[in-house]
Amino acid sequence: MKPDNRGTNEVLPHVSRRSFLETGALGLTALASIDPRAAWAQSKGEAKRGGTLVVRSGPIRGIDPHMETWATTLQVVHQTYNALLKFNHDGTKILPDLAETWEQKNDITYVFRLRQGVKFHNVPPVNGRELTSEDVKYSLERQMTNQPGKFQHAYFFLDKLAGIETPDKYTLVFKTREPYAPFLNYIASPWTVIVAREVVEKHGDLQRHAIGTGPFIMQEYRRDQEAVFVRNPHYFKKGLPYLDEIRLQYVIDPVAATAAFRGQQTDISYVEFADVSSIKSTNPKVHVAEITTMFPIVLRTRPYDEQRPNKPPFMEKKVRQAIQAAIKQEDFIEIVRSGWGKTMTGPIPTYRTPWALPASARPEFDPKKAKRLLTEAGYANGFETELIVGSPGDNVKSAQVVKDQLAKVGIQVNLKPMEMAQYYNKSYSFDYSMSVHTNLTGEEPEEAIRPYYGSNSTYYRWGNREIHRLIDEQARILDQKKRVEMVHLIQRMLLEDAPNVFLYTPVAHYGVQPWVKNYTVPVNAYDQRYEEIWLDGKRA
Amino acid sequence: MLLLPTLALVTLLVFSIIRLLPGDVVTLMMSEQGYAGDKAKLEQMLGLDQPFHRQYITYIGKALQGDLGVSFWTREPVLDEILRRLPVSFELAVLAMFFGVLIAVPTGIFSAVRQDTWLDYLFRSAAIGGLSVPGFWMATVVIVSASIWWQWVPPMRYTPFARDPVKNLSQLLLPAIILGFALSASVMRMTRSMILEVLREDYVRTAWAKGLGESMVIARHVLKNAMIPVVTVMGLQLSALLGGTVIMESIFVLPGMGKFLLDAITWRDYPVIQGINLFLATSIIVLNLVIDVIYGFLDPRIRFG
Repeated sequence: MKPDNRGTNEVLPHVSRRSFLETGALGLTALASIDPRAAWAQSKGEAKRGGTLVVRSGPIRGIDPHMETWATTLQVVHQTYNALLKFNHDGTKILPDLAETWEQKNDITYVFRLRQGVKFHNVPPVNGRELTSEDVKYSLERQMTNQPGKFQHAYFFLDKLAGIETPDKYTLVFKTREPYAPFLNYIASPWTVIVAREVVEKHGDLQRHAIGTGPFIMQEYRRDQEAVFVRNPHYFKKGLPYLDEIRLQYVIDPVAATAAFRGQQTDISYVEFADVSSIKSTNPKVHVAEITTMFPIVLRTRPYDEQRPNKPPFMEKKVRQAIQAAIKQEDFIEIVRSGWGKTMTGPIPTYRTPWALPASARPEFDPKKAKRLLTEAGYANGFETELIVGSPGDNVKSAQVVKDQLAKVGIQVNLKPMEMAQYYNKSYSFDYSMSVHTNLTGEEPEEAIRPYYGSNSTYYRWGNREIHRLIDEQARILDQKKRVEMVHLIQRMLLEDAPNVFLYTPVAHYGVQPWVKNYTVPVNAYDQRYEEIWLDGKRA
Repeated sequence: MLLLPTLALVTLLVFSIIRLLPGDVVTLMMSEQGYAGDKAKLEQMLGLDQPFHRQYITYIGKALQGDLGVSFWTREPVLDEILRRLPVSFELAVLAMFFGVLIAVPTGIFSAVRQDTWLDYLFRSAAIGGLSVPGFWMATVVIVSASIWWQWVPPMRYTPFARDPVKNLSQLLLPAIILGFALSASVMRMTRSMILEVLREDYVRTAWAKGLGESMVIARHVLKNAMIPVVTVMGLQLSALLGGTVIMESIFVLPGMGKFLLDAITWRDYPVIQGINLFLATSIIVLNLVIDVIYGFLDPRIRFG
């Protein structure tokens, strides 16, 4: 089956796993989301103006918010654009941004009132003109352009919206085709930012230019070196931002990044877990935040759909359940991450309450049960299989642990680490026996499920039609309590059907220099807003 | 003139090998980014729907006109991207060579002249060390130790030489010295053995017999005659340096060609891989030409024509 664009877009999650896997641990830098308990803010004293903030960045491919999927892109987007709504720091609440108020009139109608007097950056071609509802309409319509392979977030609203009306300069009325539960979450997504038509028309796309209404104006952008932003003096939030300048410094090598942070060349940076204690000893005033990432590591069994029926032994549910029972999550956390990881209860990471399943739902580690299930499935002597994994990175280590654990119940796993390009080819041709893969999740709960197990899924194929139906169904349930129940039910069905075994969610570390004030380490993976940060001391 | 056939062969080899690698760019783009819904359409967009020979001929035709194509992923002209990175790699390579020679030649001469003294042993051991310790390891150790002990790291923001030579050098010196140390090892060993060989030549004995001083004998009679193989080794090292500084560039955050090439290979960005290889092949050919010319200066008996 050729994935048609609609299908592809409909299920694409925010961030490409490319960006994560490519850079291994580096991916965590920009892409991490944190455990609410680890959130950290420091705002003692009165805010000071001025100074340059240097943030270590990973690779940025392009900066068009409607086209790109890499979370590093958001480091640029957050400084330069605004959306109608945004999430708070722990991702649990939606706050106003460009919209002052919003209201859901009925199951399918939403009305937004824009702030008045919001100006675009005072640079050509917009020259500081006022933002209007027409800009919002234009941006949303641009984002859901159904053009082969370009607009990666089209799936948010494509075929979901019946119309966008602009009764006046500051009012917008959205109508969905049917009740659409993820609507507000996608409106608050940092990818749904408002751009100006003139900029798109002048430059063709927004891959090299970021001109919006945000707190900073992009002054320089060299893709694999740095992006420099200066304060927007006409930002609509009075008094903000505090900083004069932000520099996103591209540092690919994790060792170099840690050294740069230690040497005080960067103010905010990802830190390797192996370096955490030594950083704390050499730079005792530095704050190192622990962050539970939004990238669960999963063990996949053979994908299947109508075109590619499942094959033995993985077509036997009991075999998949046996694999699930033979896996001990704690070992992965200990061996692969030296303790820096969290166990999982299902596809949605446990910190995403109320959507994640409770701890009691977690499949039990029971090698005896695994052996029994294998015997019942007709594989009393186990079997031999192949596991592919992209190298380098932690997933290779995880694959070794899988091999070891499955060997104990008689399943002989032959590891096939492969270079990333080759791994992606293999992975997305959906023709492999097993793989260890990094999944993505988001604020919107369906993002942890739909792209993998839904109909028209992009990243994995699982042909269970009942699960497909329920995944479609949950998006129509507006009552959150009922929707949570449905999402739980889907996850329980996935645990029972066991296409994947959920291994662990990595915990990463963010280093923040002591002079960086008023920075809340983002719980939302994407929330890299620096507008409220101020510097006290060294760099200011 | 073997220049053109060599380049043709290199481009053909690179052109075919990257297409033979498992993992093709079309599947990558489709699966990972959904860049196009329709595989055939995407192939057509990238020009990969054409038969191999036609793709190659088109490529060569455009390359001859100075058009190396655009990157599959960023859509930026490959030539621009290369020209933007070339000065960084070139400067690093030249500086590394400078430090390499600065370390290698004097120690090589000294080791040869004072053969079998403890200093000779020391220099030779250091050279063996330089050969066996990989540059990336040394770079990591240097950068990590300096950051732990003194909370110091070289500047991470690249500044072009023309804009601010001091800042530029403060970023490039450390990687250049580390690279220079690694390459000085082989140059030092070559210098030492060549000088030892030349020292036993009749004309050197004659020079001694004439009563010339040591420095005169070494500088005028020995060094010049010993340098030809040394220059050859240096030339080879310089060409290796141009494309082979990937890890140094990553560690010291230098926007050079090595890292660019590695990324291009990882993401099967054919035009970029081809472009850089064409560039490297050309540089190596030119370098060899320069070395041949230098031979003529070092040894007037070598005549061209």
